Amino acid sequence: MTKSIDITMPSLGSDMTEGMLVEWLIKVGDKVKHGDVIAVLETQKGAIDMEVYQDGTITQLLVQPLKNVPVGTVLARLKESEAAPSSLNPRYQNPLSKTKQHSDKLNFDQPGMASVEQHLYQPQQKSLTAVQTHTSRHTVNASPIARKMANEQQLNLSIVRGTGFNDAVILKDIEAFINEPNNQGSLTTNDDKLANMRSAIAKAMSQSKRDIPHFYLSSDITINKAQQWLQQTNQDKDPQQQILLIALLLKAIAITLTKYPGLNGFYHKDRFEPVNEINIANVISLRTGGVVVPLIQNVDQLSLHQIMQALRDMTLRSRSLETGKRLRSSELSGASITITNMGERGADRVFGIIYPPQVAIIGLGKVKKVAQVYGEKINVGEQLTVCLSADHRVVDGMLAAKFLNSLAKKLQYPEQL
Amino acid sequence: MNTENLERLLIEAIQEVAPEIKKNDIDSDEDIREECDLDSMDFINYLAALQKSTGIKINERDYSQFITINKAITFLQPKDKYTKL
Repeated sequence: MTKSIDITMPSLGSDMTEGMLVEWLIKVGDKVKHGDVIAVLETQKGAIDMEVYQDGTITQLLVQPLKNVPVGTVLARLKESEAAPSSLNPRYQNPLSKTKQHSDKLNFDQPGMASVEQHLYQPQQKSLTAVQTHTSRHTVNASPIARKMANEQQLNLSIVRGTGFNDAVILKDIEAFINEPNNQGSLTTNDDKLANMRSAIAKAMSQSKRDIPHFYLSSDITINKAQQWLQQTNQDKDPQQQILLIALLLKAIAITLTKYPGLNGFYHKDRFEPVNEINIANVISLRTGGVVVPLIQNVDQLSLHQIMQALRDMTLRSRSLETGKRLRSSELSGASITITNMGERGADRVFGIIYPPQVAIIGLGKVKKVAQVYGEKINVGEQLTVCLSADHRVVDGMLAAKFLNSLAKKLQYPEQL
Repeated sequence: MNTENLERLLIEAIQEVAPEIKKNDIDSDEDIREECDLDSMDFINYLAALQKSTGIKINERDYSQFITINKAITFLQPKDKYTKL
């Protein structure tokens, strides 16, 4: 028998309490597959492509675009396909699928807990009043310039009255709408977005500093061999094939973490839950202010080229939000550890604040030329400072120090990464 | 391709990674990494976009030729005759 599945406003972090449905990209009757993007959400982390985690047919759209709703609100329903989860494309598996057995014990508002999936496996919730809507981008008649303008203004075309041919929305309708004082609430300015993001960061970081007893260790790691290896590898390569030091560092960290599972997981309700997969979030600072922290799944199993590709793609989408490129909801939940790289911005070292419910954050400083002593000789070499902030409820200094030491050794054999 | 067109392609490639940057924000003789706040990931994304739009292959050894707009124009112009742009 097929069952009805609730699709809910996902939680993309402990700091996220609500989100706005900006646009449906599907309509009732559409068939969807696990991993399909079905809607655009505006959250405190910016505009996000919302994915669906189940194969099936959309039966109801319950929330109209441009409505702010709390996390967990049922947005739509779908009827599950007969051939169910076994047919899912593994590429789109939710990062937490392997830890699903824990999910009912875990709190909803934790970033690691993909609430979309959690809802899918829970009994039906009280639903909102059903409001059928067909306001996808495919059904609103508008001129290309009006569409562009609406996009720039983050304005949903379906709420603008069209006066063009066949009631198409034309440029002057958009201008009239924007200039109407009563409509100001429908427009999100960049300042609003920045303020939202600032408040989300404030909430998560305050919670972290309040609840997590951080301790900090650092190690100056020699990277002469890593740099030489990169230079050889990148020689005569074009930009698409380049490998940057950050990719090498990510891979080395991921492999080292497999031996130190105590640093990779979630702290919840007074106990630590290790995560089998190494899902590393990477802090990306936005030029317009604020940060986004998308993750790469199973970093330990990826090649350096795959890591590099993922980083390039994520950086591009994170920093080009204005051009309509967006991060996906699955990229913003489920990270088991975070890395922050301040070296490119000139900082010698960074001791990060742990992103709850994770238990560690690794900070990378800038690459420096230094005098290195080998026996009686002094050579000029390169090093970088790696910092580890860890949760003392879960790990002790000894383990953290061993982790850094093991990472330093890994980086002496770049060809094995 | 004339200087104006090449400059346009260079600006467009920068805007691929930093859409908020306008032509007037950039001094053509200054390091664009500083001018446009590009990190190394942005920089190779910029070069990849440029390679795509100009059709001219950009090797790692030539990266230093792309740190200012004017240097890049000087570097690209002689190679341009071999492309079909």
